[in-house]
Amino acid sequence: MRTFFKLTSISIQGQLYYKTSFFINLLTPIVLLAGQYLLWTALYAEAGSEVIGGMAREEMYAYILISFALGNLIGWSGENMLAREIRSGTVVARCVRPAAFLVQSVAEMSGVILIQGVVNLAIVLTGFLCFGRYLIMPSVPAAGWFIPCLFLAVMLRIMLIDVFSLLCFFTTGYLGLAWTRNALFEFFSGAMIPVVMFPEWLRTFAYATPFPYMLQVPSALLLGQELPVSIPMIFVVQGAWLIVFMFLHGGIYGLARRNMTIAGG
Amino acid sequence: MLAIIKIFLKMKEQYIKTEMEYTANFWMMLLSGVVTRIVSMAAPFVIYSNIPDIAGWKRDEIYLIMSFLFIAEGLCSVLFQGIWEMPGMVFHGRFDCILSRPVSPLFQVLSYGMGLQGISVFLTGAVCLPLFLGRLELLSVRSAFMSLFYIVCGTVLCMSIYLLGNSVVFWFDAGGKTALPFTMSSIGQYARYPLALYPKAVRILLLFLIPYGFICVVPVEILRGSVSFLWCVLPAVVSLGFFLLARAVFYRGIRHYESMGM
Repeated sequence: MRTFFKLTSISIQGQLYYKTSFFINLLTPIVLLAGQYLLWTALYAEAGSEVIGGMAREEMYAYILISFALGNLIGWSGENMLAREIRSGTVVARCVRPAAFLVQSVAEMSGVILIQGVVNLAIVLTGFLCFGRYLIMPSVPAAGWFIPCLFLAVMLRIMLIDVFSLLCFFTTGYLGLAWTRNALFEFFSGAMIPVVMFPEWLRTFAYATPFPYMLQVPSALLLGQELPVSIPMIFVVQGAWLIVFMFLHGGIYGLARRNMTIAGG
Repeated sequence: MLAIIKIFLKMKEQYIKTEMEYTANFWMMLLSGVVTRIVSMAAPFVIYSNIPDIAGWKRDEIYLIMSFLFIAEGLCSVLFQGIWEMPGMVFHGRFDCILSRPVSPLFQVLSYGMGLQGISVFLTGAVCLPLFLGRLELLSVRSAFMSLFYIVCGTVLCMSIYLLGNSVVFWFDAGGKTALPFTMSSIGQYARYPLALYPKAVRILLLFLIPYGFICVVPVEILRGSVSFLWCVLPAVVSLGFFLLARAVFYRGIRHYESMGM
């Protein structure tokens, strides 16, 4: 664990070095949050109803706030650190360090997520404190289930990013991979629009992917909304997807390692 | 002028040849352009499956707005990708090369590199535009020429917004990255929906401060015939104005450039 925490702390230092960039990076998700709020406020006004797609206005505002915090845990530069190293060849340093490749990857992204997580938590708490009467409040038992679900959701997100980044060994570029991953995540996780609002066939399809278990399901669990499976089954499904991603990591990294050519080696 | 365009196209030709050497990446970039745009089109699909009407706009009209945006973003990516390379160039001192060549620095930056995903983003927009014009019964020779005109204006405007945002790198050291243009681009995404939906402050923001409204919403408003004649020329005026502003900021920024290690 010492290695893990050391790597996490190095990652945090790296994130905080360029302060202007760091603060602008914090601003971008807030802009997106404001956009979501404005859009849904206008849509509820247009619909002339307090309920759209089975979601009441207070539910939607609370969902926007929670999903913003979960969806923006990691920014563009943080999620592409590994991919950039693969592209530039500096990934070789990871291969020679006395720590497992996956541990390094998880530690580094944890550092990024910790900082953004603290900021997002502050925004969510401020949101609930200042605008609580316009939002539905999570119950204490729901919050109790939410914490382990959130932990698994974050791990799933890290593994998704890791597996997509490893594909960079084969494509040699990461932009296409990162954009595709983000587009799929944003839509199927419910970051853009809650999955419960999807038409039946699309919702069934979305729940067959790991994406809703990274955002929609933890948010719904916290807010006491409709869940695709029972609470214990949520943890089982999240755990199962984690195992799938770990196998994918092992397979892709093994393949890449066998074919890796290191300049000067 | 013809010689400059020839050099510009020759450079793009070389970039596409280089990029095609990496086959997997080439196809992945094209795929990502299509996937990201299809996913963003899925959002109105879901919204309209729950709400029949948004501020008097039909779903196909929203797709028409998106088509204009996709074409402008796609063309910008293919033709002017170099703008996004500026932060890296400045941080690593590669901007020295730009300044030492006997060609306009702005021309060199614009012609540098090529965004492969832009090809598929542009094609997605180019397929959707006539399709949704037809579905809305707006397809005619007049609307085709007007669309072409607004695409040119939108592309210049999109390029100017990117240039303005990325020129900030001359003033702020951020390790070869800058988040401001991404923030501006994120704000611009609000313009995927009719501006009438938003409060007045946001409408002013999207029309005159980060004028994405003129790239996509205003052209559709004009084609629908829901705005006065004055609005028909405004996209061209705003595009030209923003280009001149971005150019001025870029050259002012160059004065701040201190070579390697700024």
